[in-house]
Amino acid sequence: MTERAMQEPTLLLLTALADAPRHGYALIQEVDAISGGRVKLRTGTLYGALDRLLQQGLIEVAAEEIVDGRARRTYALTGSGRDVLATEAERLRTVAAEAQRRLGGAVRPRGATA
Amino acid sequence: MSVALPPGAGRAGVALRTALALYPACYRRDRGAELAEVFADSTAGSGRLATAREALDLAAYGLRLRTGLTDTAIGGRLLVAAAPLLAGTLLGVGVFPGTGDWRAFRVTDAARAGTDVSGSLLVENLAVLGLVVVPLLLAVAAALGAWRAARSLGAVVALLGVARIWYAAFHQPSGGEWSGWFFGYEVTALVPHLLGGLLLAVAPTGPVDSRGRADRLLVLAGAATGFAVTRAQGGYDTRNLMDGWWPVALLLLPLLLVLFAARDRLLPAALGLAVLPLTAAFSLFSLWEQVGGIWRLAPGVAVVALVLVPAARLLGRPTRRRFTSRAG
Repeated sequence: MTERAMQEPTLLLLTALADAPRHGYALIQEVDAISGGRVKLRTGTLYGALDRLLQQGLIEVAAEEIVDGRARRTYALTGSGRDVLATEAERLRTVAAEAQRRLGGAVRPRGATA
Repeated sequence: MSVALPPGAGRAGVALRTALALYPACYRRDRGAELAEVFADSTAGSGRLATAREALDLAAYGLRLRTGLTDTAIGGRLLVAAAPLLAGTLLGVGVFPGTGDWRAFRVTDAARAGTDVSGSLLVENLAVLGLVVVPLLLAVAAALGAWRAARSLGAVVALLGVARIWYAAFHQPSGGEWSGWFFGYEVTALVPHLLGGLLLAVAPTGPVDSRGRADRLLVLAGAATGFAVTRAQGGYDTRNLMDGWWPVALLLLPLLLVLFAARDRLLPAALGLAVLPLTAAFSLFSLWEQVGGIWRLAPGVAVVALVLVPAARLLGRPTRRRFTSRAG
């Protein structure tokens, strides 16, 4: 997984779990907020991703409880999920820093070579 | 957890219940209540269209779980592995020059016919030409790693195949009378497009969809294989039926390769799956012609099934997915 760029929904889900465990609908809301409203996960898509991440050992079920008569399962990052997210964040940071550096350089006329 | 629908669920409740019915019972027992809650929260205050979309998405995942076509199940992973090869084979089967394939004449006819024909013939001609052009676009999309587009084009290929079958079912062939035999022949000629297109359309979207250069090589390999198999068959033509062991080999070899999936060896299994739609129909057709009737072919098919089923069990290992709540 670390050899290739992570798909955005996976990255957003792991990011949503990075600071605290969350239940299904909270994850949908967090992903919506983190992506600035661009990515709206639907229920089936969310559970497809959660099942995959559970199987890959990147997340785990932190708690199963009934809150106000409603079934609720809370998901959390595992140690391995935290490592994968950190690696991806570092990769993105490197790319972003390089982009900033180049954008901050002298403005060249269009078509000019270095 | 049992599935208890939220109070006042109404129309959304019916959609939810229908969608949940598509899930395997064990998954529904384990996650049904949780899915229902998230669905209720997601659709609260939404309009009909948004609720329908949410229900469709929920139903689609249920169907994937039910059919083993999620991106973590063996069936889904096999389809993901086979997708570039399938895209290539669909292109290869349409490269007619040198294969002696009668379909080449049909394509030329359709291209020359223009638009001054009856409505149904126009649909047929467009479908004939579409089955040449769309696989080309599909192969390009697959080579570029645009898998969402490739899957949609796979669905288009299958639909064009269906359009051609509709035409063959209700219209007289040019220069002849309608016959069940000729209809069967037309349908079997379209099996690569129907099956290949469908397999591509239902392939899951994986977490890492594009494999770059590897995909491009697999598309090329698939195209070469598609062309070679069409050539080995001497084109799809009853005047040029395969003799001897060719039809048996071209049927059994891909089937045996697909069995490798039971051992999680996805590349050979994917190759088998990609080739099978090209060989199965014509091999069965040739065998049927050779033995002189479908009932005479039945014992042979039974023997093959008797060999393949234990072979699959022997090769296989427990792959039934456990719907556990916790990882590891």
